[in-house]
Amino acid sequence: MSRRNRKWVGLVALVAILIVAGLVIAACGSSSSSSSSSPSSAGTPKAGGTYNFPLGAEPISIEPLNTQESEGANVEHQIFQGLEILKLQPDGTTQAVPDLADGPPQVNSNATVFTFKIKQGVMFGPPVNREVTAQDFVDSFNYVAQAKNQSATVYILAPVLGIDAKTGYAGKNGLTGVKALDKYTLQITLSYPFADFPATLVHPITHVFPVDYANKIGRKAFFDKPVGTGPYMVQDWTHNQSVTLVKNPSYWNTSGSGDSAKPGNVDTINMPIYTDTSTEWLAFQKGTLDYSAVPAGNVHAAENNANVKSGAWTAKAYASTAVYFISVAMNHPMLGGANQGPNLPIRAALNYAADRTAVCNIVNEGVTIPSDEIVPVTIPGYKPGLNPYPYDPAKAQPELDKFTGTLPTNIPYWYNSGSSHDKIAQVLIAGWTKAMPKLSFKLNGIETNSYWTQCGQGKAPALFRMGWIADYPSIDNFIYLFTTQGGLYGSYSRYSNPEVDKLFKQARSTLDQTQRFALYNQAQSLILADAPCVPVYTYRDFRVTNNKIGGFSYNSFGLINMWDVWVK
Amino acid sequence: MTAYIIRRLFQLVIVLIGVTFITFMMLKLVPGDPAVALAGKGATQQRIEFVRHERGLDRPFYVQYYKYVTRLLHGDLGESLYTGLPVRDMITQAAPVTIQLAVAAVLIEMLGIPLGVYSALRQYSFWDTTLTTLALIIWGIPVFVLGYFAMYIFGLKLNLLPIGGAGLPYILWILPSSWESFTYLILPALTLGIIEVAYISYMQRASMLEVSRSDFIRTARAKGLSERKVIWGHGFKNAVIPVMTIAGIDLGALIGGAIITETVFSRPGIGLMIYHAIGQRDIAVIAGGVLFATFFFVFANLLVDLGYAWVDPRVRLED
Repeated sequence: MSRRNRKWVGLVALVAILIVAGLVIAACGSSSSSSSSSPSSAGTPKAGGTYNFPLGAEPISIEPLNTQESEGANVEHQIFQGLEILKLQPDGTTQAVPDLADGPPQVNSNATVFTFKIKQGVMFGPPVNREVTAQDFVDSFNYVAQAKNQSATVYILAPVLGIDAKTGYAGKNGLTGVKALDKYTLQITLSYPFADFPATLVHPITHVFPVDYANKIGRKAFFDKPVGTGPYMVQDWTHNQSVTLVKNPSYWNTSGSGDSAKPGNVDTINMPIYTDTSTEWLAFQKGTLDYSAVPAGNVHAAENNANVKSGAWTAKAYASTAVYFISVAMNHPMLGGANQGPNLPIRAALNYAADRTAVCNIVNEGVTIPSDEIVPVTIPGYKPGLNPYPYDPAKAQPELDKFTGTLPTNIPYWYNSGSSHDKIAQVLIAGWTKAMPKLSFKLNGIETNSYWTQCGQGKAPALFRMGWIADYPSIDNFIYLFTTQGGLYGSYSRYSNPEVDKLFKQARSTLDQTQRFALYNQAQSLILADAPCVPVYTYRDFRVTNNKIGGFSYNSFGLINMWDVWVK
Repeated sequence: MTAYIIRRLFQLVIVLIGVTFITFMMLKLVPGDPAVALAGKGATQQRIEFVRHERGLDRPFYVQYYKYVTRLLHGDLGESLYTGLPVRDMITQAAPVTIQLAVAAVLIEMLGIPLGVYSALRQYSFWDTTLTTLALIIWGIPVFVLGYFAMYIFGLKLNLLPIGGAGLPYILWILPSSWESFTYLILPALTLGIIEVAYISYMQRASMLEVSRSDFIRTARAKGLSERKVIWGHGFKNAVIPVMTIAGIDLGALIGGAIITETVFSRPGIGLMIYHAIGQRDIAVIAGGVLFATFFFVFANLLVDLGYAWVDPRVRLED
């Protein structure tokens, strides 16, 4: 063997040794990991221990004023309470039920005045330690509605009398529609009928907090360590690192009555921040966390993980209240124009040939639920079978043939870059061009902030990716998207149908829930017939939980009642 | 020398002002409007305009810039548009995490210098080939792949080190306060450092080989100097200068943010802060972060330049 050859043999041998060493290390580790936890049977909840729940990002806020995204919402959910609370129903929907309200409100005949009785004995946590009264709700609502406090979620209070329609904040006289009739009676008057208004009161911005205390300690101090009435309180928020909650020692609902939070089981909730899902998933596997999201591409591996198979972990997709759809720019002549006008056959054909199942299976690993409707299955009032153009690729070309004009080519399809929107577009386009070979599309990925700005300004020329996450459990949330106002500011489709607007308005003033749902769904039928969008799917959140933790539940808003969890 | 340093520090001020100006101008030119996000979901045009006005985002570019610089001269970096937190506080929290990682990574990458010299002295030997090939392989691995691999092996499988986190609190601003705190630094620093070790050793080898073929080395040998003196006294001193430049630039650049490493290891540093702020068009945070990064970048380069004079007396930093 020559000297040169020996060198290369040596190099190959060294590399081989390194690889083998790596594999041996991995194999050794693998066996120890898979036997590190075992399945536990259900049992009686017990107190004590720590629940380790990761946050996917630094929360924007953990107090009612500005809680927006799921990270902040899951922290806020343990600390604050409002008149209503979300309750997961056996049918998988999530509904609003009374929390600090002592039963459902009294409502006037045109759904504009709601009178709530407040539960007695509700206490703010330490260091405030005083009873909550109706006036605290008045103060809280007014505080968050003030322009100077700059809440980004104040739009939830839009129906309340006193909100300036132009600015979205409270007018000069404050929220004149929110009054304390006596110590325990709160009256909320709206500026327009809205029968589903109580459902909006699950939103963090409607939660009660001690305004006097917040003013006393100052904005920043309250931002860092807010005080509410919930079963947990903030011990520490090390920004960008972790939030630590501990049991509220003076929690009011000691008997655990009603649908309000029970006293917490675990002593501490540790919420480290993991900015990367893959890292979070590794930390879960290591045992550092009791819960984890699963990075894209790992869903099937997680389902088949030995710990899931043995029952030590549970891997499950939880249906959410978010939908994914492709909006059509109705203000643009390419696909839009009049609702029942000449372009309708193209929009209908796109609906017929939208292979939603392929999108869910190929791109989303089967986690999402194919849907051809605007309203997700998790929302009360959901009714299937309303889309007159359900998936049927064979009907697409005949439908397209009804179009008498010149077929558009290179139809622009916009999406915000990142996530899997490009892949979803490719799968949809593959289905469309297979069913209708004469159609062609042009993809355009745009940076997220620019994308939403341009869509909001009505600059999208034809098709553009949209999504909507419910703020509260009401079908109103979704039908609104395709009202004249929602077309401008919600779906950005610029869709407008006076008949839809009329039904929407009628539904809002109908107190009977069955009739109300029927009206909303009539409106949805009209919208789907005009096809100003291509609904694609309802989201589900795939999560893995460690079964050493009992009492875990996950509602369709992605919130976990951490007071119920306990360490087995 | 003193005058040189003063002149460079004066230049630094001009650079910082220039950087803030360019940052402001770029954010004005790129599409995207923070008022849309600040106004909340489904906001009407009127509301967006109201929010834009309330936050001063509708003022002309030069007014916003003037206001920013005026506040800056009073030591006020402004507040985040989204959280309302003072940018100074945000930087104070993020900077130690970044500096700790950057310094540790640069210290590790210094290992590349002896490895490069060793390779150069044994050109085409088995170890030279092995080290050079390994350097190329490691250099070609994306940092996030190496990061995940390191966490998988040392964090998950061997259970030796933590997965993710910054290991707070620190003492003396950037030093780990305990062994546990230190363990949070090991994997990200090694991940970031080892790639640079490969790069530095590769550069050091090339530089050393080039210098060893120079006339002055031949002259030194002809004069009968010992090989040790030729290599370390003449060759190395000259060969290390370009590598020092790279290391200095690396230190400055890493303080600007090792965004991927910070993301993968959930280390909330400056890079991650700027990255998120860009997505949100949070101008005060972006400008503050960029200012901080620029300051350290220029400062690190100043240190490198001063280091030249120490390594090579021919390099004079004349007044």
